[in-house]
Parts: sequence; C-alpha cells; structure tokens
Amino acid sequence: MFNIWFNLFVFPGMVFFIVLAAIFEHVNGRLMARFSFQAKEQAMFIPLVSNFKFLVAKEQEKHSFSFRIIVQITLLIVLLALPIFGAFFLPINILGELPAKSGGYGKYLKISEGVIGIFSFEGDVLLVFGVILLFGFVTLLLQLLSPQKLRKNAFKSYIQFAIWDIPLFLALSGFLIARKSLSLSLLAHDIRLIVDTNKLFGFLILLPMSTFIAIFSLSSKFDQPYFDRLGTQKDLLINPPLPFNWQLFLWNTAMRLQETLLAGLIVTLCLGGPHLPIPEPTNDYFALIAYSGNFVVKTMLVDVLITLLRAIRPRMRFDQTLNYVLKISTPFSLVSLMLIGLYVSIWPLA
Amino acid sequence: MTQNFTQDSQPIAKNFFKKKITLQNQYFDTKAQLNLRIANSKVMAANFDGELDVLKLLEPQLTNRSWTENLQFLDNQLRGPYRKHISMNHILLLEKLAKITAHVPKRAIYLRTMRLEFERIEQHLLFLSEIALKLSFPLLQLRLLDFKEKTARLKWQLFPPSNKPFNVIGGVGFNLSQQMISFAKEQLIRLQKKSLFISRLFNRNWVIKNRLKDVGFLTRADAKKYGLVGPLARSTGITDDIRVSDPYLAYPEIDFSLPVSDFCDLYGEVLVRIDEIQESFKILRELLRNLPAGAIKLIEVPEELSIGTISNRLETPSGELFSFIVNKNKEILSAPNVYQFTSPLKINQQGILLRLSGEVLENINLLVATISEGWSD
Repeated sequence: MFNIWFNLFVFPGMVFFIVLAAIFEHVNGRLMARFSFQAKEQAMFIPLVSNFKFLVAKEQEKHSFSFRIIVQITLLIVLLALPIFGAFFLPINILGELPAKSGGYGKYLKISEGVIGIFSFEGDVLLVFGVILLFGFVTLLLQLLSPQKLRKNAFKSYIQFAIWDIPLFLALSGFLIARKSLSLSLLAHDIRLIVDTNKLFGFLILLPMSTFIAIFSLSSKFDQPYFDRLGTQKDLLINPPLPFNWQLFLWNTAMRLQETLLAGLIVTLCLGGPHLPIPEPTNDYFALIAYSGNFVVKTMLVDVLITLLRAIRPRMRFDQTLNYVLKISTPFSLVSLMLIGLYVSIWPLA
Repeated sequence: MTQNFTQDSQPIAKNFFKKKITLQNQYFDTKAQLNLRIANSKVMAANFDGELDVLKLLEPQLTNRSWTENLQFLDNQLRGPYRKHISMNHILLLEKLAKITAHVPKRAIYLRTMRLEFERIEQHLLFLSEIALKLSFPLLQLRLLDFKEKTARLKWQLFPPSNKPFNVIGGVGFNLSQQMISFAKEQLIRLQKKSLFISRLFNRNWVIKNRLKDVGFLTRADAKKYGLVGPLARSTGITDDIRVSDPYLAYPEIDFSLPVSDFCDLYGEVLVRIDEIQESFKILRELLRNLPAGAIKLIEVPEELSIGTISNRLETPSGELFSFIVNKNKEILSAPNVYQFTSPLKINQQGILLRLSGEVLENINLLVATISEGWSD
C-alpha cells in the first residue's frame, strides 16, 4: 500500500480529484460549445481550465479591502473546501484499512470488495448530504453579499438551486431503505450484492428509477444562473478583453467540484462504484489504479450524460422549476421509495 | 436619441436600481444601450441610448455612389439585415424613376419574389434560433441553424452567388432552366415537410410554451396606438401586411394567407413567424408552378431618369420598410440626392420598450433577442 499521505493528497487524493474535475469540465465545455454551434462558450458552462483566464487577465479596477470582501473571501474558500472534503468519502480515495480501525468492517470488507473512502464510518452518507446542504447555504450567503442583487432575488436563486436536492436525496434514500445502513462503503457493496442475487428487483426497480431521477435533478441543479445574469453575461464570455475576477474564478471552481462530487456519489451508489468494467486484479497496486480508472470512466459518462440532458431541453424559469420539482419529480421519487420499501418489507433481502 | 416610457399605473418604488445592457450590432460596427429601471424585480421604465436604426448608417454611403454602383453594392457587397429586400427596394425605386415598372417581364417579377421569400424564411429561422439560444436550448438552436443552411443551399443552387448583380434595370440577371424548376419543386416539398418539426416543438414542449407565454404582453390597442408593424403587430391580431394591403411584385397574383395570432405576447410572435415560414414555402411552390415563360429582362432600357421624389414600401421579415428618395439628375450615372430609410425596427422601437416595461428580470434576455436586425447583448 502507498504511503497514506501520498494517497491523501496526490493520488488518488485531493490533487487528482481537482484535476479530474478540470478534465471533465473541459470535455463538457467543448461538448456544449459544439452543441451551441458557436465559437464562444456559454456563460454557464465555462470549462474549469478556462477559469484561470480570470486570474491571468489584467486588473481593471482596484478593489479596496472592506469587511464585506473579507467575508466574501472566507465564504468562497469554504465553498471550495466543501466538495474537496466531500470527495474523501468517494471510492477515488481508496484506503481499505481505515474502516477496520474506525468501525470494524475490516474482516468483511477487503480492498477487493466494497467501496471505501478515506473517512468511512457508519453515518458518512449523512455527512455527505450535510456537505451538499451546507454548500447550498454558503451560496445563499454569497448571494446576499452580492451588491448587484436584491435580497429577494438572492433567496429566489438559492431556492432555484437548492430545491433540486429534494428529489436527489429522496432518490438516493431508496438505497438506505433497502439496506438499512448509513455507511457509504457498506451501501455500495450491498447494492452490488442485491443486484447480483436479485437481478429482477435490481435492474427494474432499485437502479433505474433512482438513477434517472438523480441524474435529471443534478443536470437541472447546476443549470441555474446563480449570479445575476444580466450583470455578468458580459464578464463571463471567454473572448478577450476579459476582466480580472477572482471571485468568479473561485465560484466557478467550487461549482464544478461540487458537480463532480455529486456525479461521483451517483456513480458510487447507483452504478457499481469502481468495480466495473475493468476487471479486478489481485495485485494491490494495480487494484488501486484499476478502481480509480473504473470510477473515472463512469463519472465522466455521467457528466457527459448530464451535458446531453442539458442540451436536449430548455432551461426552466423559477415558477416552472418549483412546479416541476414539487408536482412531478418529488412525487415520482417518493413512489420509487415506496416501491422499494414495499418490496423489502414483503421479501426481506438476505 | 432617447425615448422614454414609464408605466403610470405602477408607482416607482423607492428602492429601484438601474441596469444597463450594451447591445452590439453584428453587421455595422455600432453599439447602443438599453437602460432599465428596476424595482421589485420588475422593469419599471426602459429606454434606448444610441441609434438603433442601422439603415440610417447606410444612407450617406448610398448618396455617394451612382444608381448603378448602388445596384452592385447592395446586391453583392452589403452586410446587413434583410439585404435582399433592401436591394429589391432599390431596384423598384430605380424602375419607378425610369418609368418602366409596368413593362418589366412577368418571369423576372416571379423570380424576384422567389428571392425575397427565401430570405424571409432564413430571417425567421435566425430569429427562432436566437430565441432557442436564450432559452438555453442548444439542440433546438443547432437544428434551426441546420435547417436554415439547407434552405440556403437550395437558394444557392437556384440563384448561384456571383459577382454579377441579380437585379438589373428592367429584369433579372439569372434564369431558371426547366430541369432546375422541377428539381426545386421536389426540394421545396421535402423542405416544407421537414420544417414541421419547428411548429411541433414550439406547440408541444410545455417548458418552451410556458416560458414564452405572457412574456412581453402587448395589447392590440397599444399596437395600434404606436403604429407597430410586422410580426410584432400581427402577434396582437392586427392583419397588416404590405404584401396584401399594398401589393407589389408578384404578390397580387398569388393566393396566400396572413398568419395572425391573438396571444398578444412573445409566444404569439413566435407562432406568427413559424406560420409565415410555412406560407413562404407555399408561395415559393406556387411561384414555381405558375412561372411564366418568356424574357427575363427588357431589351431596351431607358438611359434617362425622371426628376422628382419617389417613395416605396416593402414588407421585410420584421415589418414595413419605407424608403424615400429625391433625384435631381437625369443621368443614370449620377448619385441620388436624398436617400432615406425608415426601418421596421425604428417603427417598432416603442413597441419593444412597451413590451419590456412591467416584465420580470428573467424574461428580459428573451425580449432583447426580439430586437433582431443584428443586435445582440
């Protein structure tokens, strides 16, 4: 096994996660640019790499450091740190020994089984959900700090962003009910076993319903304009001259990382985590690379799927979003939850 | 130049804020500004800063060139909105001055009308693709631009682009062979069938429908009061079209209907434009079916022009284009003394401001897309 600090920070750790998000976003940005049939990239889909241009660009206005700007910097750094922290629970940070120390699953779960992040323990799913909710809350605080925005509009765009969490959480809760567990590693492992033993239930009820709702919610969640569209439309264009805008750089980076984290969560729970399609080698070193490779490929596929979903439908307005989430998406996810609950209560899983 | 509009029924709140949208024209290197006064996340007042009517920039260029040079310039070199209509307007004015309007061969008139209808389809598709972009619907935008490309390809096969001007005094410079006509008939039927996807999408997709409905509401009384023209007026139920009310070219001989909508909003305008695409295909097919045989231009062309003032009206894709000239020289190689346009955008400017007022912030970029004529934010 590699050195724990190397694992934690370089591969397959923090740096790898950020680079991964950058690559996904670059592919997605190009794909989106191809779809929209124009040279300039769309404001909402700036690839992460292109964001660095905001830092390289010449400064046009000198900002004086006020209390508000200091709070803004702090919040933006928190925003950036949250998805990176959340990523430690994903299988990209495999470290098979830690759960044995923390929870005692080591005898049941070897590195070739189960999905284990660096911080794996009973209840880590709730912590990931907490990270997602906290991320939304920090975006709200940042919206309130924005001088261009009225308080009412800030709340409005926060609701538009965070309301998609309801169907997303409900869709992923189906797995919690099926297994009655709150550990990501156990869940991912057991879902794989359920689908293996009971293919009819797995492929018809458990996986497709939750996967579809979760991916659709995710594609809509990050399709919303957070900053005031009218003011920043000009700034967001990639074409020069580009103003120096570090806030936008931090904001976009955090958003892309969060999107990658959620895509990774969906892959971990719904799509078999790091187990397929590359077969499992016996050597530990190769296993690490194979698992990471599997996970990367799947997350990338989910990301591309989300981009395609964005391309084949128009963006909804605020009232339409509320209508859709509360009248269609949430009831549908509740029905899937009920179906899974019914199935498990009638035919208990082994 | 500034125009102001305030809605009297809604008092302007104390905590309003201002918003500036810079508009850039893609044909002419000019900028304009749309100023909005926003309170309670609604537009309370709107006005434009700068000249929106880009045809005004064209006027000095036209008075510096002779009549024949202008013919070449407008047909081949001009970059601008509905340029085929502008060049057609020029030749109609010139023929009125030469007093040969009644003698132009019928085949030439039919071919000219065809060219205008092709441009109408293209401009409407461009408008719809702009709306698709603002709806953040890239695939629809791609399909619309792709369809526009297909239509343009057929047009280029019929009237290939060349250095020679299409319009000449007393006729046209290009003719269609019988083989080409039968080919075009087949292609037009195919294209018209394919174009049905547009109306299907805009009628059935509930997200698009609800996003466009009630956006930019404009009553028929207001449209009449401000004398609005084109699809904007027709979306409020006003049946006004120069092709019907003051027909020119081959339009009096063609049977076509005038699409009108009672929605009085952006959705109505979109539906009107979609229906006009269908009507234009119908017109093109009828023109090809009834294309008269014979010469395409006059053999003897008068070399002298009459002296005086002449005006002309033409229905462009976005409304009525009015032009006015003063000619003081008899020679055809002399330049026109006065050449003035009133573009449909100039007439509809008040209507656009009226649409913006009282609108929520989320819908503003959709309404900015309807300014058209090369303007974008």
